Amino acid sequence: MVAEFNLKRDVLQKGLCTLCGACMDGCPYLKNIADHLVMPFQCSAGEGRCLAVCPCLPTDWEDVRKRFLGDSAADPDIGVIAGVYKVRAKHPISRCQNGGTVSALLAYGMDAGLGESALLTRSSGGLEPEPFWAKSPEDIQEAAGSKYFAAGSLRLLNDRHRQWDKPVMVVGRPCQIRALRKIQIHEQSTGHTSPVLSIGLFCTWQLSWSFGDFLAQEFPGKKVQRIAISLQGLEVDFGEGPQPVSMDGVRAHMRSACHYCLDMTAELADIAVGAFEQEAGWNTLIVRSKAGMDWFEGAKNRGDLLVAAYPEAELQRLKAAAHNKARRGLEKIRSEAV
Amino acid sequence: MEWMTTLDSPGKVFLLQGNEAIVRGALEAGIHFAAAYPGSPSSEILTMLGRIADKRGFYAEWSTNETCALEACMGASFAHARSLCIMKQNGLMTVGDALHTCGLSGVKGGLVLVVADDPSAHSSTNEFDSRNMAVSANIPMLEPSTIQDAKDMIPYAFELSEQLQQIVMIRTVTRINHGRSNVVLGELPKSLRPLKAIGEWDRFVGINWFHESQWEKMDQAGEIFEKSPFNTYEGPEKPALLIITSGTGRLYSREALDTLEEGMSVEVFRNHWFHSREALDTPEVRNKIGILSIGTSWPLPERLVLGHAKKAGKILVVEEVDPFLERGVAAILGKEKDFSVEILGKGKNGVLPRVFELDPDRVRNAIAKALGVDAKDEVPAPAPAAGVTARELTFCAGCPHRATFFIVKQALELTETQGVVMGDIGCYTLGAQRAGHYLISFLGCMGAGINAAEGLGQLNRFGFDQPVVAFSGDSTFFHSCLPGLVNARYHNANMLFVILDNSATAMTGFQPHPGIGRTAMGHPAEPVSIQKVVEAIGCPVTTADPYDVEGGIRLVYDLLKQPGLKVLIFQQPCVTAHIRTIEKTKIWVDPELCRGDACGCGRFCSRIWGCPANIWDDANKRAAIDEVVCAGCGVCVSLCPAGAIKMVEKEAV
Ligand SMILES: Cc1cc2nc3c(=O)[nH]c(=O)nc-3n(C[C@H](O)[C@H](O)[C@H](O)COP(=O)(O)OP(=O)(O)OC[C@H]3O[C@@H](n4cnc5c(N)ncnc54)[C@H](O)[C@@H]3O)c2cc1C
Ligand code: SF4
Ligand code: SF4
Ligand code: SF4
Ligand code: SF4
Ligand code: SF4
Repeated sequence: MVAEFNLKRDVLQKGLCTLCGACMDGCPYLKNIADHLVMPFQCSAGEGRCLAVCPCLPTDWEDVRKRFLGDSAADPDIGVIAGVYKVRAKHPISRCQNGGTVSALLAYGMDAGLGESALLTRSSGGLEPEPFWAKSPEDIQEAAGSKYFAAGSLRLLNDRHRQWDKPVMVVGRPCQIRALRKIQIHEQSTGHTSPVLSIGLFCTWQLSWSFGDFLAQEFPGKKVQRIAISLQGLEVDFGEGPQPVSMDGVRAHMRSACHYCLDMTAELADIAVGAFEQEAGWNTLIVRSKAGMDWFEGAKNRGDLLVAAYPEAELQRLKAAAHNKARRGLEKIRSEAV
Repeated sequence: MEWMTTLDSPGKVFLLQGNEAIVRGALEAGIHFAAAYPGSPSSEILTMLGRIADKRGFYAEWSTNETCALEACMGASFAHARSLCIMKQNGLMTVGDALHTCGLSGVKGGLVLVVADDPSAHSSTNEFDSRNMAVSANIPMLEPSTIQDAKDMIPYAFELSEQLQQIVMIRTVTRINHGRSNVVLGELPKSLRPLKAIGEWDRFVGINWFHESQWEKMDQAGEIFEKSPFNTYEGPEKPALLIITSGTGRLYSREALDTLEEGMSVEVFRNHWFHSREALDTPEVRNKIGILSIGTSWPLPERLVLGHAKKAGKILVVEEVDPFLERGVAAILGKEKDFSVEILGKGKNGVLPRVFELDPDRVRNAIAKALGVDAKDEVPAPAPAAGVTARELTFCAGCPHRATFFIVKQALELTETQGVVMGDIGCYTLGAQRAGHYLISFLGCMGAGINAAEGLGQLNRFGFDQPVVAFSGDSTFFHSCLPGLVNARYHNANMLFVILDNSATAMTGFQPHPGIGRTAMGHPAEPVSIQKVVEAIGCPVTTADPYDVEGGIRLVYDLLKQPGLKVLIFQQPCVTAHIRTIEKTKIWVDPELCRGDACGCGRFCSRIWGCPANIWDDANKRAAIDEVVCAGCGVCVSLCPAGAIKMVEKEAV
């Protein structure tokens, strides 16, 4: 199926790469620094792994759902819903992005042996993110908060020294979860197996690293502490409270791939988590798979999560937002015939 | 056979290389002083002179560049030293100003300049004909046509130089410098002539005041050349075809005659062409042709040429590279009233090609055409030897330059912009080829890279935002990049200057330069630190080891992001120069781990990295290391994505 594709020509040079990391590190042809991913030399392998796992090349969504999410019907806008809730951590860890739900699920998962380690993304000051394997509550704390700069954490799955027998948890953006599923399918075909639980973050765009240069220009001499998206748009905290950044500036530095993206709510994850937009400090959580439900229930039953019913109006608003994102993406794809 | 150059046995005959013959000639001339900048095909001359200088009591140096060398010789000449300056044709281009003023000032002690041309540019970027420079500088010039001439002309040139009080140039070509032939040795002086003090009113000044006296010296030289023993004629009194030739043209013409005469097979012909000196004996073709060989190419002996021309039915001029002699002959004959004769030679419609070096085949075809006879077997293109596949030039195994180009290639790609790389002259010129991933897109003379980059680095005001990188080797840095670096720094050009410090002038055979710490005569010297020089000019400078490929890519990427002038020195000794001094590290491939052709590698080590020691074992479909070739640098170990290339540290050899 992938033979006619060429990663350099069809993904990298078209600006479609989301920097998920799935193809990185396993192969000497793909070189990455900051958010640049390039292929300086011509690969001779042809039908390779990169083509099999790249989330920007054709994906059989039906097949992935069947394999990982069971047979439940999928909502056309926000995917398979085994349950949708308004959730927050009972004791949100500091610097968590919204309700701290993701970090709480991870902490529970580690205690309960669902994942021996978790593939997370940390950074200092919200800039220059760096993927790492979290193995303790301290590590989870270190990763708390959203990094809006493109980051390819899935590359760590390709570490040639990695053991493929221990269960792991992976947190990622929707594009990353799609890539993760493709990796899982690919690994099955190559004999590797490894139980993987995934949390997908809601996502509408991420930023190019050039946004850092833009901030340095706009706010000279200031050091970024935290970046957040609120109803007001993007806010940057330089340690003096959140400051809004002009949406034009933000748009100019969005990663090109995100303009083509069709998935806002991580439709292929075991659990998807986003902000609960009407009330700060809370999350929207969608359970999609059986494994996801066991994980969520376990954390809830242990008393780690506060869970409330999800307001119908809010659900409609979420679907509309997801629909709009997909519509914009489709228009972009059609207009450029990528 | 270098030892023969110092042998005190006049009259003895030895098989010498052209460069050895020149060295011998220098000893017979009793030189006090020799200075050169390395460049093929001349490099061996000063290397040998350096080794024997102490023993013979003269001084020899590898100068920082050709201008330093020539002007040092001028200084020595001022004190009546006999000075020999050696360079290749490109070097001569850089000394233009010095040479022209030297021509005006004239010299005191004999000053002979040997310039080795490289027709076909076997080890050069071009095949400039340096004879044109003698015309421009208005100085006498000689051309040896045999190895014996190459020796004999050196003392002759020194005598002439002192007689005329003028610098004398000798132009050789690769086939003379690197050819071998029997040479009869001459006498060595018992001791060197004493120097003279420079008096209060002695002057050595190159100003236009002396222009007329310079011409008078040329007139005098012309007279002397009319009777020079280096101009010879062999053949009938009235030849149907007069071949006028200089340099290798003389031997090529003779060889051509032999084969035309005997219908010799091309193979036999090729195998003996250069060494054969059989007399012109037999009938037909032979008694139609005369060969006038000119050793004193400038100024031309006009009467001699005219005298022979008047007896000839037709003239063919045979010479290397430019139609220099041809134009000279035409100018002489053109001045003669009521005289006309057809002159054949080089050119678009000529009988000889106007580019690339001559060979007996070409000369043979030209003579046949000139005579209107059948060349018998037309000369076929040389067939490659069976079993030898054509291979592109590449860097040696373990060469730090391969790693440097590999690093810069990837760093530039990572900027996701179209970088522009300016090359310079050295081994790293190979960077314009596959070995350097075709990175170099600009190549001029020595020192041109940094200056061209400086120019591009000023264009940001027009929106030009491509990253600009200029390369220089360490020897080239001292030779000609210093003014360029000062210029780039003063005008803060947007560029990255990468200095490849492999501590050797490797391309021409590891002659020492000011950064090495050893002189041509083998004496220790305090090395000049490139880093300190760059720092003193006020450039931000970073040093790195090119063997650390990942670190290097990051570093170059970071430097490219910074505005203004950046200097990066990649330091790693040339493996070929240093391999004997390091303990050999054993490198091997674990076939269990090697991914070979499969996804995740695709023979990255042999196909992309391309070290000649990273080979592909086709029988096992796995990579392997050619242990004989491997230099143990360890770079491929760090590049293998599967960790299949292993290294055993420090296995003693
Ligand atoms: C680029 C981006 C865009 C987003 N856009 C939206 C949006 O439009 N609407 C919305 O509702 N929510 C969005 N989110 C999700 C939201 O910001 C929170 O991550 C989510 O609500 C979970 O909150 P929390 O308090 O439970 O997270 P925390 O408990 O703080 O945990 C966050 C976890 O996310 C991981 N993480 C952080 N950054 C990244 C990254 N770049 N890639 C992969 N993993 C990462 C960390 O490792 C950490 O474990 C986005 C997140 C990201 C990273
Ligand atoms: S096909 Fe395989 S070897 Fe080639 S680029 Fe893709 S992952 Fe690398
Ligand atoms: S989207 Fe992911 S898999 Fe595709 S090219 Fe980018 S990093 Fe590689
Ligand atoms: S918008 Fe889509 S492509 Fe961009 S980071 Fe989010 S999920 Fe990935
Ligand atoms: S780079 Fe490594 S895996 Fe690839 S062919 Fe060479 S030794 Fe084998
Ligand atoms: S160690 Fe590897 S790169 Fe270095 S010389 Fe040997 S084969 Fe070549």
